[in-house]
Amino acid sequence: MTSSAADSGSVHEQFDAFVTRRYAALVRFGYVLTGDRAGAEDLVQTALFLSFRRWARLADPADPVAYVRRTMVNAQISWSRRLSSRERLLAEPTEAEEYTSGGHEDGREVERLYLWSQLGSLPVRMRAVLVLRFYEDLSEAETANVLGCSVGTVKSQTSRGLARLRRTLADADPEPASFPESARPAAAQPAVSGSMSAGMENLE
Amino acid sequence: MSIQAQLRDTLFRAADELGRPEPPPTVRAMGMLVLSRRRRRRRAAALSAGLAAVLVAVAVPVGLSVLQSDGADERAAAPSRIPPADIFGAPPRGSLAADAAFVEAIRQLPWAWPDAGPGDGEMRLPDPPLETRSVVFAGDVTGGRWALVVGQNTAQPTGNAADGYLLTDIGALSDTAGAWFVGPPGAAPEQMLLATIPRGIPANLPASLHDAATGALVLVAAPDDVIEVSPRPEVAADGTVSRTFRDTNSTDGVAVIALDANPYQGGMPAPAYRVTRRGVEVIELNPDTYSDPDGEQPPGIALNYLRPPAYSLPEGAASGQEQRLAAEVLASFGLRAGQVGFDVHYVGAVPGVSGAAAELTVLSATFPSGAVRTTAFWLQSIPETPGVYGAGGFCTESITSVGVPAAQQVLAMRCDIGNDAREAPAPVSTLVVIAPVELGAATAAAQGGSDTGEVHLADGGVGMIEFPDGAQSVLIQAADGMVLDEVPIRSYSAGSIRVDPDNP
Repeated sequence: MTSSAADSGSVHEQFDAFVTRRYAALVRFGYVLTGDRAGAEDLVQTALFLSFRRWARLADPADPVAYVRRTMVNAQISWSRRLSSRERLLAEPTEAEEYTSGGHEDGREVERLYLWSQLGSLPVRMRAVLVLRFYEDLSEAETANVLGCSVGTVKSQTSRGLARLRRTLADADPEPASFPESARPAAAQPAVSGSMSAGMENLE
Repeated sequence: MSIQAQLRDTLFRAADELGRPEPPPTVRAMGMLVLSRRRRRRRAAALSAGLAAVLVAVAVPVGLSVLQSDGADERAAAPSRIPPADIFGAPPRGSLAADAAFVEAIRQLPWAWPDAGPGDGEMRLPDPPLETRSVVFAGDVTGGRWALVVGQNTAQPTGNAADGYLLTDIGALSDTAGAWFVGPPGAAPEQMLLATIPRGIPANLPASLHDAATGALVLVAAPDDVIEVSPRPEVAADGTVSRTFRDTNSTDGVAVIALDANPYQGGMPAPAYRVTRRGVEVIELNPDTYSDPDGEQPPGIALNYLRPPAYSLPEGAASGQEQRLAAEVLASFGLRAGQVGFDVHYVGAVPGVSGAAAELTVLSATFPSGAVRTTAFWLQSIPETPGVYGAGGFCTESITSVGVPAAQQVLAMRCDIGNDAREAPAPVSTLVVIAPVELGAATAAAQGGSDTGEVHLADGGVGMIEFPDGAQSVLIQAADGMVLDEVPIRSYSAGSIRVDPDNP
């Protein structure tokens, strides 16, 4: 085996180990970022592809999760710019059953579903800020670093995003029956298509 | 519970619903290698599609083409997909092949490209040692005399430049380089001039050259290859575009064809060829192009201006984008000027990046079938250097079926104006609505997004606002509030704005 082939084998093994260890977490992150499982998987594949190409040059090739996460956020923002005229998935079909089979009796559960659906109405960058802050638990500075913006922007986007969600919840009657039809996840929605499913094609 | 806590709970519970997804084979290292190869092939196709926009911003010398299918790395990756053939190792072919003195003189012609600088790797051009050169084709064609010469590729990229991802000329890694020489009818060898930039060419894929002004097309393939040609794409009434390929009945793997001449240039050339080898389709592509730099300028194309143009770039009407766009339609669809009706919907300012002047040109072409192709192209200048454009790209490029005449259509489109520079500011996104002047003071309300936006069309039926996030269509309302129409917002998914996640 030549040295380059050996290096290549090592890089591939390292990459596969990373994928095994982090794939689930990355898809979960992609899901809260996009609201769409298929979109999340596309996003992870894209980010892994871009990371794979420069694996040897990454600062932390053993576990470059920060780099992959940053790539996912930037890819999501880029795709949303290019695909903004496409339909967006507002909620996952799997939740519909839960909603209609008694879950609506729990006001908090309905609020949660409504909040989830309303996340889809936020501008993509604002949603990314909220996800990084409240799902990934990043600090304002870390979030700013991922998004390539100032801490002030993160502060204002967080504040506006939370205010918008708070207002949305306040505007809606807490009684389940009074929540807008649009809050009903998935099955109640008309045409739903994966906004990100073409992601790799566009990237390519 | 605070909104922060609610949000956190919502996000974590949503994520929990996914369980623990297992990585599919496609995201492992082997899958990435497969994807990487596929990406290179698609990149080549995208490059050909985006060539028109690139031509505006960058001076691409005629003859430099990236359309020559897959390169050496591709052959190594899938050697069994394309049956092997030594196209360029065969004896000379063409009507002048038997003229040994002519062929030898052509073989000895210099390969020096007049505009080539000293070269620093990227611009280094092949210059094969004489002993490695051979003439593949020499013959008379409509309006001239052409020859194809090949030799050792002395300019194969090395180091990072050899990375397939960075290569734009996908034949660059080949061991073989080729160049076309062109002369007037009956030209002596010394009248034959280098017509294309010398470059690496895959040895098992055909070579081609087309001159739209004369209609001459030459295809050089392997002796037993079947060569088919489609003179131009057909646009049906329903807006679909198709091609019909016919066998050229070529001999010895060479087809010399006289197509209809077309004085206009731009965009993709109208003809396409397809080569089949031992039952396997090897390639379907547009030919490389040549145009006589001393050739006559084509006449201006008659355009119907639906409203007075308001040129906003320092060059004024000299930028001539509407003429260029119309010429591109005629050239890429192989039609004569009288066969296509052109309506110019708008020529005027559009918001640029960082306050720079930008101009939008919107043009419709009505084909003989009645289908309408609408093109919206923006150009942004660099303030300090009039005549030099920072960037250009399409807002839309779409074909619609027979229906409302082009001049009566309401057009709504998204224009993302920016440039490719890595440090460039974010693109400026604008919703542009153009309605017939007769509509008077109307409004267009953006629909489908989280933000609302209303475009007032008082000024000659044209209005623009910052693009409302997520908008998908606009509702056209008359001054009295009556809803007249709802039209989808067109966009351009493969435009020149390249928001590359690789360069965040």
